[in-house]
Amino acid sequence: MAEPLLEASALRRSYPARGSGGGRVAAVDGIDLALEHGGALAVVGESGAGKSTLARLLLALERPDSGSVRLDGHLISSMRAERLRPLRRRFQAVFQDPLESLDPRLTVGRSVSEPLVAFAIGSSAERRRRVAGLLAAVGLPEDAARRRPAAFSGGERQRVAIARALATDPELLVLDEPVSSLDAGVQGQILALIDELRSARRLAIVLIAHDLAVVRRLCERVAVLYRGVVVEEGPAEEILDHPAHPYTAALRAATPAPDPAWRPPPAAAPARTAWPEGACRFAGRCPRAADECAREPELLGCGTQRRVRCHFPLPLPPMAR
Amino acid sequence: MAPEAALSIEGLTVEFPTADGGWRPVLRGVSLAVAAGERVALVGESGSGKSVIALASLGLVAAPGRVAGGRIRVAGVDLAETPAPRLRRIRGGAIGLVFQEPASAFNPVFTVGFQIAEAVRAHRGVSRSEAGAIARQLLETTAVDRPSEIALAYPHQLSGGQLQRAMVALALAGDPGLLIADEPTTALDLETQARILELLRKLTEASRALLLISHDLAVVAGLVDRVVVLFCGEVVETAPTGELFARPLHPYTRWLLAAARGAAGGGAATAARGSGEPSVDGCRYAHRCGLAQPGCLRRPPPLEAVGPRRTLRCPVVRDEERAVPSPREPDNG
Repeated sequence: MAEPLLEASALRRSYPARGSGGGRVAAVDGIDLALEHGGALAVVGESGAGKSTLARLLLALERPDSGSVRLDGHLISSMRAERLRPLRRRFQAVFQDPLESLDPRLTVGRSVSEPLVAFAIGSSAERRRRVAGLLAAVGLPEDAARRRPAAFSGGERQRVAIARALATDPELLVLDEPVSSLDAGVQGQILALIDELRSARRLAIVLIAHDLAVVRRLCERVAVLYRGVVVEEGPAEEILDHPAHPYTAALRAATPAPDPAWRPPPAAAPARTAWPEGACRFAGRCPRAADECAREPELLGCGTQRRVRCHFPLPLPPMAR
Repeated sequence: MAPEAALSIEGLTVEFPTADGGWRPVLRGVSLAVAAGERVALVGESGSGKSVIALASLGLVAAPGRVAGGRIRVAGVDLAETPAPRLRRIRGGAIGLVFQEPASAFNPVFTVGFQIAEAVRAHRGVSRSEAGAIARQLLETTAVDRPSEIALAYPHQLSGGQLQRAMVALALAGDPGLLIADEPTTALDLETQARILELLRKLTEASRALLLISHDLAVVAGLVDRVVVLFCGEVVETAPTGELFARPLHPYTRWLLAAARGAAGGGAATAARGSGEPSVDGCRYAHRCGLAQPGCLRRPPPLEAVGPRRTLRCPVVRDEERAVPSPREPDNG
């Protein structure tokens, strides 16, 4: 296999625990991930799983306590700021709330050209042309450049944020919940846009999401996070159709379907709730947990392309094995 | 419809002032009824006026907004004719409100249990100790996990899901006949969302009615009896849930359903729908509509009955439906 575009190894990052006691909580507790050039990897999990911490580590906005992040072989997780700076144009981010990430005082044209100015790309006339091209690429009208963020709907603002992220022609886009603050109808449009830009620009993406439907739409691979570790990772369609980890199965069952016959699944009754330190993190919620789960399982290969962290994975149909 | 509708809104128009001194309607002649014990969803995108309907139902259209027309009756009581003290008893007494941000429903400096007990006392006229006992019961109904600890906790000590359950308990303080839930699960994880939806179902199994407000058809599909689709301050379609999902009629409903099923989107260049202004004289959806005809921009389409329990605001689809005999409803199952 060729060298991956992005590679995270044994990433760890902890924060001081809330309240007194001076303990620390490991938000990311040993994560390995790889993404090839032009690939699409989704990271899913509930709040507190460590998704956003992982996103900040991958973007080198934060340093890991241990472990590393490499972009195209460059060790970006421990690089000095001035060496990192020129590399930053190769990876960009889109966050959940475009209203917070766009300066309300700047016209959209200024916002989108800011990265070009920061990296001294092109003359001012070239920048104007480039901004116009970017706004067209994300489906905004020509006059959008002269308006300010307040004049746009939520979906349009997210288009602006995407245009800005693409300004430096990056190879990697990290999208942290890019559609979760948008209306259901508009979500579909933004996802279609991301998909289109991906194939047009050979862009690799890391998509952080809590919604499995979003993942299926956009990504070939998915990593399911639970309390700071990957519990299942592999081809998205295969995992979402036939989850092997009980947590993935629970997430999938809880995703509402646009179907009047859909019912929320009954709350899974955990086999037992008290587990010692060092037990599987999901044991306390898991209907399949047994004595073995007092020892945390490794993330092991399961089938040809999948890894699962579970002593008792769900049986897979012959096709998915 | 059985005795008294839990909520009956007729021709409601709500306006807000514009910068140039005029008034801009955010709701235009909205009619909507929720029968006793019925579960109804109100579906629409941000800016469609969904939340204004929830607030108006509580008599809470805040200045500078004004109710410019229409009638709202809650369990038979006309809000416009109700003096303020009685209105306060209706809020919380006849209608319980659950909204998206549970943190803003609670005062941060009192325990959750104390605040629920206060609401119980205000609505049920019971003693302090009785109110405390009822509050604990309500939390046992809504919070599966450690209700007694939740009662003693301050809002900031609870997770989003726990706080949302506590807010549902608060909404039940006056034993209301109608629950209005405005995007109650938007801020929550999938599993927590499933639990809250299940809770809303349980609480409305007997005689309590539910008005569930959401932007997402998938969230309401399994829970409600009927769906009302709102676009730009107008009802564009109403239908029993099964019929709406089997055969959506209004182009906006079709688009919403396609989006929920993951089929919407299309090319990026054309996808920035919603930019541009809706027509002033004609159909408000015309600028986004794939079926729009010149006539759609000239006349506002009326909301018409298109079946025993269905209404539709789209003459184009109505005529199509008349020309082609509608297919049989697919059997469920």
